[in-house]
Amino acid sequence: MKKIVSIIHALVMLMSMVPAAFAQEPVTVTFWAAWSLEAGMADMIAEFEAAHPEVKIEYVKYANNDEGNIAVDVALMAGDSIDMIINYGLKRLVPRSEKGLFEPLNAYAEKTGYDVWAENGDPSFEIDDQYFGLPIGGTSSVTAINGAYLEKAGLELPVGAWTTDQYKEYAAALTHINEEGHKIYGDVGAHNLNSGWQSLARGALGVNYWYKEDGSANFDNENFKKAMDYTISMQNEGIAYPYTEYLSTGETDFSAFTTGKAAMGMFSNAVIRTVVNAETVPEGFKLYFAQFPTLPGEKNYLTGINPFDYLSMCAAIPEERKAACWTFMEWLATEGNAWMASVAHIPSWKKVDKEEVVGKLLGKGAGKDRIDVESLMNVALNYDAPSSYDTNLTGYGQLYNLIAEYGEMAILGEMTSEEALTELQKEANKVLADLAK
Amino acid sequence: MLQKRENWIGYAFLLPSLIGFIVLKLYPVLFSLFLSFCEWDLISGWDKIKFIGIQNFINMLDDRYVVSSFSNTLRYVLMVVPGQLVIGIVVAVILEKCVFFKRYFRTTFFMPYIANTVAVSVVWMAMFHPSMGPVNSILKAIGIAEPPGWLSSRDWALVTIALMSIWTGSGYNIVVNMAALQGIPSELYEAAKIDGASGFQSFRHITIPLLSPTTFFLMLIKIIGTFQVFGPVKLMTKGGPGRATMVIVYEIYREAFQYYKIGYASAQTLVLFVIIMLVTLVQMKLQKKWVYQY
Repeated sequence: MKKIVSIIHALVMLMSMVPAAFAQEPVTVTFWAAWSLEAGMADMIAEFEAAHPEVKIEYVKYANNDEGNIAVDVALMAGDSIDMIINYGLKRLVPRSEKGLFEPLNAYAEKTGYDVWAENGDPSFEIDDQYFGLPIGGTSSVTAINGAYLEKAGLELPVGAWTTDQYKEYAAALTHINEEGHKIYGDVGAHNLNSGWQSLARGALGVNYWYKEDGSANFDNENFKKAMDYTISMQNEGIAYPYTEYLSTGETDFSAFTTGKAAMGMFSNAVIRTVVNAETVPEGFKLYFAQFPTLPGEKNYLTGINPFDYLSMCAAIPEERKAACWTFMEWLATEGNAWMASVAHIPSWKKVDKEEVVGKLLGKGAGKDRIDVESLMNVALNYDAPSSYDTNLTGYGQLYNLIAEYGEMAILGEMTSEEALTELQKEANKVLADLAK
Repeated sequence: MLQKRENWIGYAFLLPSLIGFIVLKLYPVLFSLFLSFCEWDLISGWDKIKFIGIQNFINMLDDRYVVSSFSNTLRYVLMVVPGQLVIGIVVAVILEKCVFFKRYFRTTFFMPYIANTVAVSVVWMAMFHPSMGPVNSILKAIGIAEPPGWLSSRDWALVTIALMSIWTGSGYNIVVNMAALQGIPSELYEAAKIDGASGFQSFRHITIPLLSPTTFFLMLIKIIGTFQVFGPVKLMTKGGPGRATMVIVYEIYREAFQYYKIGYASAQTLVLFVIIMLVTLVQMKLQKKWVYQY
């Protein structure tokens, strides 16, 4: 009897081990992005792993600045520490793809029946009809307005298209001295001269606005002068937060806005994250959205959502990990795409639930009290407007710095706008000619 | 035989530091030297390194950023090194001869030298804020109606950074000079006093000459250090306004890590190295004329 019990016991033990022996260990893959885990990445990964237990995601946060991207490039070259990464903008995706650091994604998409154009839109960049990044998120350009100041000035929220002249009238009306005797500026002004004053030219000229059709520099286009003169006039009239303040304090336009030092500003949707994450905001603060203003008589190419976040897979990793990566990539581009809103980027999936997007944009904290949902949906989440993105990135870094340098000269009064733009055009052409050699 | 074996054991003990030196110092230096004659963008892989001879150096002659950055670096060195040397000597003499709580003051003056550059930069940005900073408030209070814009002014930004560097770096000079002062025989001062020399005459004819070996040492290491200024520029101005604070190491950083022109940046590094070496050699040569060895 004892023998029979022992045999049964042994059999039961053996059978209990069978499923364990056949259960598959999840494949662990690394996913690099520039957001903190607390900003929603941890929840996103938990949701994915619950739906796909065969894949385990190891999240790595990197710094999306020059030093951080150098570290990324070196890691990509080494080929084993990065499995997937979000590239912020084509300026990062294009060189990495051209150097063969990323895997072409077409074959994976075909295998699972995923159509990037139908699901998320144009992948923006291809080599021999192969694309290397899923356009999983984008940015939109908006005018952010502090509702408390709007109400105080007795102004209505601008709805629909408006011009820089109207914007200036609003800025003048919003400029005031507060109860503590501090001056509140109508406009946040040009904190970042690379993307500040020239955004108006971008709005008017559309894609590849730095370049003429023959590839030479386009800074002699009259819209650059209009944009620069406008920025300078806002400073000189005392209705924009002084540029010298930014220079001497290292403050950003985001903080000038969220701390209530300025009432209104031209921003990307990143302003949402700043407002949601701010520890405190002034009493009565509420973020309203209006369209990005246009230079009078010009078009506005900045009303839609422009692709910015490109999810790529490293070329040098083993096949098994590539398959696991694709499972995650396709999920993040579709079913899990709303999670992009948790880091205030605009999800690109065409079937994304807008309500869910708004919920994630506002977060679990004070966001819902600080942001006006109606104008957010109308302006920042305008999926119906056409999107655009620059495809010519020749000499991007050098031109970027030249724009900042000459913008600064003009705004500080060291040069007139004509002189600054003439020099900028000359120097930019020199850079482009050198690169063409 | 035993001698040979002992030699090998000696080399074995040296090996860890030798490996460290070769991997972390010698190899990067030689590789950088090689890259200065090449074109390479870092992310293309080794096989894309293209030898272009002296083209990087020729390009430098026509590069206005290089010209500005060398000129700004030179101006910075000329402000910071004499500033730190003078303060280092004067304060050390005062602390050594005329002040109680010497240790307390020595520690206080040394603190900025070991303080974190980021923290110091933030404090200086606040202090030199044009409209709300205490510096301009004081200047206005004493009747200067339009004080400088400091970091927001093209004329003053480099001066502001230089002032900060003088403040942070002088502590080291003070401590070294104080140690050197203790080595000057007191009999010399007593003899000078008996001969009727004033305090200033003693300082001029005893202290300065006998401190000259220390002054030479400090000058040498400070020149080498200030030529390589980077942190305060990156943190406070990023080379601006315009190009007003564009110094050579920041320019090298931009070329390498913003434009990915690793070969060009290596060439600039080599030029900087040669300049520092030449300046050092000239100093070594000239020291015979003014350094008093006793």
